[in-house]
Amino acid sequence: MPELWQFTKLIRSKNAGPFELTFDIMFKDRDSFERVLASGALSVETIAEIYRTNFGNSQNSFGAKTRVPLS
Amino acid sequence: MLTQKLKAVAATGNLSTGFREETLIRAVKDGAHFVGCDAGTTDSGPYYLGSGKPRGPREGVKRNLRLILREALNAGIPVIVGTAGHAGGRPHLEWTVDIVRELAKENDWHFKLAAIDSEVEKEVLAQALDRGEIAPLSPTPRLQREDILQAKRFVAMMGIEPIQRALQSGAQIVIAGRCSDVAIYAALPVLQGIPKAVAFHAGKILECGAASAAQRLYPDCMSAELDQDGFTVEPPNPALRCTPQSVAAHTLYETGDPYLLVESGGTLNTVEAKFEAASDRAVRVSGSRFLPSAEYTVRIEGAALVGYRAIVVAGIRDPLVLRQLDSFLSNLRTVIERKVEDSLKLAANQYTLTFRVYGRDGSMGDAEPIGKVEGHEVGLIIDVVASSQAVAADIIPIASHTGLHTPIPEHDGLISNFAYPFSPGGIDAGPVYQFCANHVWRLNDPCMPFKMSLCDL
Repeated sequence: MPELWQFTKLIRSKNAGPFELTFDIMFKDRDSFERVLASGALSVETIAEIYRTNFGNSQNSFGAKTRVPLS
Repeated sequence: MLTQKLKAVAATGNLSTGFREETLIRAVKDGAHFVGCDAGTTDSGPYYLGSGKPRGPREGVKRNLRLILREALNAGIPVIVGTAGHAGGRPHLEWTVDIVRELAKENDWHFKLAAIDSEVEKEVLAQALDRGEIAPLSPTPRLQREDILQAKRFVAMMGIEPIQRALQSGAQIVIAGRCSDVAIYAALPVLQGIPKAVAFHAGKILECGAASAAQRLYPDCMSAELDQDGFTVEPPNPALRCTPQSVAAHTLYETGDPYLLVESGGTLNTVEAKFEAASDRAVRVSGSRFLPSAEYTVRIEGAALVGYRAIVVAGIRDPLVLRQLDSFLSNLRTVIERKVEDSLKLAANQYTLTFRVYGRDGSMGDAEPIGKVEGHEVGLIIDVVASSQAVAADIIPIASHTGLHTPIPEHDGLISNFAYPFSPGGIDAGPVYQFCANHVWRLNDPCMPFKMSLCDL
């Protein structure tokens, strides 16, 4: 199974202020972006499950962004 | 009159981290209208705000300020420093202003200096709370009158208006307390007639200096040329380059929402922003919008003292211990708590004892999806927070000696499982603070909480 980094230029985690953690994923191109999104691997449910949080919030622009609360 | 083109230079992403002298000289010579620099962040946690201590090194900050002031004074352009001393409280502002005064004296420089104090007296904030002017954001720490009065320090985060007031008062060097990163770079352009949508988006890109480059090799300057329709960002250091992707990526860096950046006075909306290559190292950005907010609010930050920390670091390499690490640590906790009660007469609820296991879930804690040991060793930090430094320091040797000899069923006789890298093992880590506010303050006057003092040096 291909891994996420093979489709991206940047995967990073960064806090947004003291109370939130975000993940930014910047894709190599539009095609990579759409393939990964279509796979469902970055769905709100998947992210929420992986990080054991019920507040998964995934959105996208040039890339995708996910935010989770910092405990 | 509308300004046609305005060039903003960010000296670096954080005043204490530095930049290359030749890059700043080049950037200013290239027609800069002002130099900005962010000097702080909450990313390092609540310690600086709580303790009132600035983050140095002082000599490094002085070197960087010396070069910024020298180049800006030579060019006759303003300097705007935001979030002085790392947390932007009164002692942080004073520390930074002291360096500026020292530099002016040493170099026989003369200019009008504005210092903008953003520390909010606890009683003033409590009264604002009583009047219903303080609104919670999510998540919301409890912030009632007594919480405010018990906390160590509060600051309000200024928007563009207090900086504009300083510039309009004739200040050439503006040192601001707690300040929006974006406002450092948006204040002057908006004053000169650049649309807020352009100025705020450019500010977001500039606030971390060279961080919006494709490969930020080291901390350095960044430049942007703003006009009525957008801005062009280009690193003044020829070794760096910006790409549409690197600039788009920085647009959503450390923001909660990839499209919406909430600032005092309104929200930058980048849904329709276009990022286009202007050359192989410059990027043209256009199409953002700025939506003014119905009410003007500023963010409130506060820090409260939690206790005092002492730690000890240990390596664990025994595969049999690692195989049963969870139960091992659970047993260890039980014995430490009993011994602390016996020796120090402290119940377990009078201090906190945390095992941080690097090699299992040290980075992510409860959010770690793997959550078990897969390698051949782990690094353990025993982290104690107690009511005084002396008590925390007393608990540490009990914890470390207990850990060293905690038995497992597979070994008979006295075992010693922990490898301590340091002697003494215990390290006093000082006072511990927590952020105690995630609130905004509704203001009729955007400058109200911010006290400006002007002086001619």
